Formats: sequence, C-alpha cells, structure tokens
Amino acid sequence: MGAQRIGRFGTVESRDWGEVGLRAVVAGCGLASAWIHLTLGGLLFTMNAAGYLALTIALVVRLDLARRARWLTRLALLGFTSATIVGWLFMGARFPLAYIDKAIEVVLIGFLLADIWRADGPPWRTPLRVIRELPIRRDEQAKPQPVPSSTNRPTNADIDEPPHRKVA
Amino acid sequence: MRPTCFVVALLGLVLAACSSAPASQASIPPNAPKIEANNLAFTTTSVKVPAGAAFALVFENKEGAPHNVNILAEPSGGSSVFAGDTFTGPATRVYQVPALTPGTHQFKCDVHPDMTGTLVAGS
Repeated sequence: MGAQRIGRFGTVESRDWGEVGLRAVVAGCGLASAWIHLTLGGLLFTMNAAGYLALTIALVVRLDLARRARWLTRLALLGFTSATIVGWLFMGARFPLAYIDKAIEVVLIGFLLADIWRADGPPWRTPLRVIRELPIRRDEQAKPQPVPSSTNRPTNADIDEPPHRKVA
Repeated sequence: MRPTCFVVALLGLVLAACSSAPASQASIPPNAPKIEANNLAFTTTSVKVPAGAAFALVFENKEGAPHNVNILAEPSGGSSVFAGDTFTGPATRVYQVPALTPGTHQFKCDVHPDMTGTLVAGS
C-alpha cells in the first residue's frame, strides 16, 4: 500500500507506510541512543551520540543527496550500531542505563535489517551490490540492460536509490 | 502495536530509567571515608581507608553523568576487588566495602575509565 508524490525538491517521494513505520522505529531508536550517550558525558560518548544523530538525520532527511546515499547510510548505521554494541561488550560498564541502551540498539539493528531487506533485498546480496557500485564496473553498467520482468519490478523502495542501482 | 506507539513506549522506558531517586542521607556514617565526583573527574583523588576490615565508603556523585567507584588490587590497576553500583547524580550512596589488603589501590569509574584516584588502605 503506497503512493507517490513530487517532493519539495522535484524528487519523487515514496509514501509506503511500511517503509515509513520501519524508518520511524529506526530513527526513534537512533535518537534515543544518541540522547543516552550524550547524557554519559566525555568525548567518546559525545562522539558516539553525534554519530547516531548524524546517521539518523541522514536516514530520514528528504534531500536528494541524502536520498541517493540512503543505502550507504543504512549500512553505515548498521556498522556503527554493531561496533557500539561490540565495544560495550568488551570494555563497557554494566549498569541499568547501559542495558536499556543495548536493548534499544538491538531493536534498531532488527528494524534496520528489515529496512535494508525491504530496500536493497537480502542483506547477503548487499556486498555484491556494493561491488557493482565500484567505478571499475561503471563501463559494464552502461551496457543496455534487460527490461525488468513482472517478478522483478521496481518497488517504491527503489525510488530511494540512485538510477543506476535500480537494475537488479 | 503500531510503530509510533512502540517508539513512544521505548522512549518512556528510557526516561523512566534515567530519573534517579534521591539517595537516603540517613544511613551515611559519620567520619566515613568519602569520594566525590564532578565534571567527569574524581574531585577526591586520594583517600585513606582502614585495612583488614570491612568499612563503609561514601560516594557522592555531584553531576548528571553516571559514575561509580571500582577499587582495583594494585596502585596501577589490576583486577577489581570491589565495584560499587553505578548511578546518576546528584546523589550519594554508601558502599559496604570488604576488607582490603594494606597498601595502595587504584580506584576508577567503570563508565569513564580515565577517571581514577588512589585509595590507601592502612591502620
């Protein structure tokens, strides 16, 4: 169930409520984790909070540049959150707020994986897609592409992606 | 549950967890060794405590950031011999510390490991 409209910057905007819901949860978790890290004080936690804030904003802001890099933002947020959890496992303090924050981050990862799957397909195919993005392969992508079949039709999620990534 | 409800519930849970109740002042023993923390540092960097017997250690966290006192075996670190609860301030807790071996021990905050001080156990 979705709709499209022309956005403020002349871009086509998706109105897929599944996508909106997924991204709202991811953004909510990202902001909550940013706020928690900000309250901890110190340079490391402040930088961590800034990272969450920047990636969350990049994930939801309706700008062409951010929209084109959304797939990369999702991967960056996934890696950033995973690294935060792993860092805490190895050297983090164990206290109630830390456990709450880790629970939020696990929820964030779960919903982010669902968002990645919705937008980019199964996560294990993502590395292949990233390789396909490398400049060395651009000349091959310039070749004529087959018309998408009915089972491989672009979805609303594809609107988020740059034109050359629409080809499966 | 709708995603927005879920996010609101989650944020509510976080806010509830961050609101700290004021610590009871009644149980603070007089003349007990005391450590204070403020501005992401221990303002008490050296404290004397009894050796060979359990004692009460007062820890006052004067700021909103969470801190605790973790007493280590050696002057330069080593394994933990006692780790107090982590809590956000401004609040005061009284830790019941088990008997320490005579000598110098380092103490630190688990949340901010660069916050350290020296604890001297002696008669």
